[in-house]
Amino acid sequence: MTLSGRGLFRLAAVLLILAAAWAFVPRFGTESNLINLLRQACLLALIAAGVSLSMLVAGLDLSIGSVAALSSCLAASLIVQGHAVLGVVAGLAGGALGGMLNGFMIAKLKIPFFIMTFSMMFIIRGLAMTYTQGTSIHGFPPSFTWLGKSFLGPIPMPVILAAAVLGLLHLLLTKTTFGRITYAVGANADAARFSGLAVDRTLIQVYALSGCLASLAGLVYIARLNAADADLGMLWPLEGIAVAVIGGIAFSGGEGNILGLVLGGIVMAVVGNCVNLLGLPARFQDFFIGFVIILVVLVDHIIQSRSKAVK
Amino acid sequence: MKRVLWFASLALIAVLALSGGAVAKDPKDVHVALVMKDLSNRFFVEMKWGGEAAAKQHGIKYTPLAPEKYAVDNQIRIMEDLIQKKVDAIVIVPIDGAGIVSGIERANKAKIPVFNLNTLASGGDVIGYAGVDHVILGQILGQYAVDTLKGKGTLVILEGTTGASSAIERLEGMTAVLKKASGIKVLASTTAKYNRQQAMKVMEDLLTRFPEIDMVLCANDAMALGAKEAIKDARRKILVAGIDAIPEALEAVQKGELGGTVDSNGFDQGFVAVDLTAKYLLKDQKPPKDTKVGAGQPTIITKNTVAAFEKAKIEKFKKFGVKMD
Repeated sequence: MTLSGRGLFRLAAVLLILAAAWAFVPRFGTESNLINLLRQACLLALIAAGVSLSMLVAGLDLSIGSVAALSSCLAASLIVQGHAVLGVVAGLAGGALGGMLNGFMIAKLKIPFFIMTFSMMFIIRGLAMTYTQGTSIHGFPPSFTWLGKSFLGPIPMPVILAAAVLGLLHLLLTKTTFGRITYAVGANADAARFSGLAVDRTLIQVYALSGCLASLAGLVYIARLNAADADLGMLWPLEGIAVAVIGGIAFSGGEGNILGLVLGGIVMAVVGNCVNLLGLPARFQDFFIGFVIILVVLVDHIIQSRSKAVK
Repeated sequence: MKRVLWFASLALIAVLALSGGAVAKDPKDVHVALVMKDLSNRFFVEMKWGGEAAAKQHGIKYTPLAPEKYAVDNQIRIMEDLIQKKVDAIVIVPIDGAGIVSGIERANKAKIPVFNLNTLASGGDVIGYAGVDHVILGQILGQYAVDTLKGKGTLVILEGTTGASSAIERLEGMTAVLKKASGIKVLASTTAKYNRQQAMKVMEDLLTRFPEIDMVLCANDAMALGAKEAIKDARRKILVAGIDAIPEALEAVQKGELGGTVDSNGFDQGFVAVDLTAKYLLKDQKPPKDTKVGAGQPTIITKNTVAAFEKAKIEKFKKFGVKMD
């Protein structure tokens, strides 16, 4: 694996973007903006975590935004009644359950992952809209909003949460049997099956984890917004994929380091931040993101084919 | 005897033929569908209730619908289904005025009347249009800023979805008023796509960019609520105002967290559109080309007026027998 070379390239690219922004964008380097950026980047990394797991098993979870919306609206109903802990637990469990259903249908009933999670995206969004009837659930107690709003020293809580979650996921993927099977399934599911690995079970676990992570991101977001409504996370599948791809998670499965999501999140956040700081029209953000994705993947390919040629 | 039978059957045929026209006008057999933009937004939920109230008054069958995904293609698909089902009329609230034209043309071909509500369609044959004057809504918001700032200060504007006619007109109304107040400086005017999450993010960046902002004007309440949270988190004090008067915004106005909001009257819009369409189908009354819903009525709702506004609204819903759930 050429992780060092490709990882280094990604790190260098991010540093280059940061340096350029620092030099040319007014007020970019102020303390308040850097904290703001860090928080935006970590929230994006958190959103991408679920999608990345499904990409590692050569699948894709398009239902994360809808799952986040429904589970956080359900959680919000409990939280506004003062049951913060119960709400969070129920939200996470709901997300895991939705993900498990995805995994079960994909692994056991062989429904193509794209069709399954694509349909779930609509079904669950519909349920969320039916549940909220167009209103928002708002006004959370501080015992819940600290998830999104508090600070530990100068560091915003979402940053600490994202760091903890990505750290744990990294350990899970690199140090446990579950992790090794996940990469094996993504690289070649048939081979994994023939070698007697529990492929189906792993798929169900991966999608359940993806749903659970989506709920967690949803909870952090509603804590920040101090309100939950049914249109939370409409763009999350797309943003998540963008962060994952920039962060080095391969679409073909079995390849990529979950810590790369931090880099992907930073790139996405910096582009959006600079567009707003420079006062450019918002459409430039979409334009630049698309451009960056292609550039990163292109350079990645070149480095990869070179390193193969050297071997 | 044969002759009597012959006469009797002739009479029967004549009666059937004459009543034929009247039978088609039985309200119970008239079916009107209202296709909205998005039912996750309280504004459209109240529009749905307005339509329901009008349908109940006329005793007609009524189906409110909105696409799962906020895209005009999906609205066209819903229209196609309604054409297949042979509804008697479609009231359409286009997500995109240009994009909806092919849907309207398809209904035209099937001879199903279409009424255009809220967002103007740029083509196809419609029996009429009704909508709130978005320019006026924007003007009221702009005037509120001029009055509160006493003609002097800095502000930023969060616009609606780029290209949507309501977004363009609301902005037009705001800037028309603000231009006249030479002491007010618009630092930035940018879109947050009518979305709460997006507004929070854009506001975070704008707070960094401008160390001093006196006021934020938002083209809808969802954005105002998102911007408000960003401002609160940054420990800054900036007055925020929006449009639509959704319940959460009214609550925030009451608490002093938002400065004000403007009622865009979703209920009346839905009511007027279904009412005019029902009259067209049942009584053959052609609707006016352009009906301005609640024109001249909207005012800014502030902490002082919010209680009276909410009371009046609930009384209205009760009067029409709307089940608010």
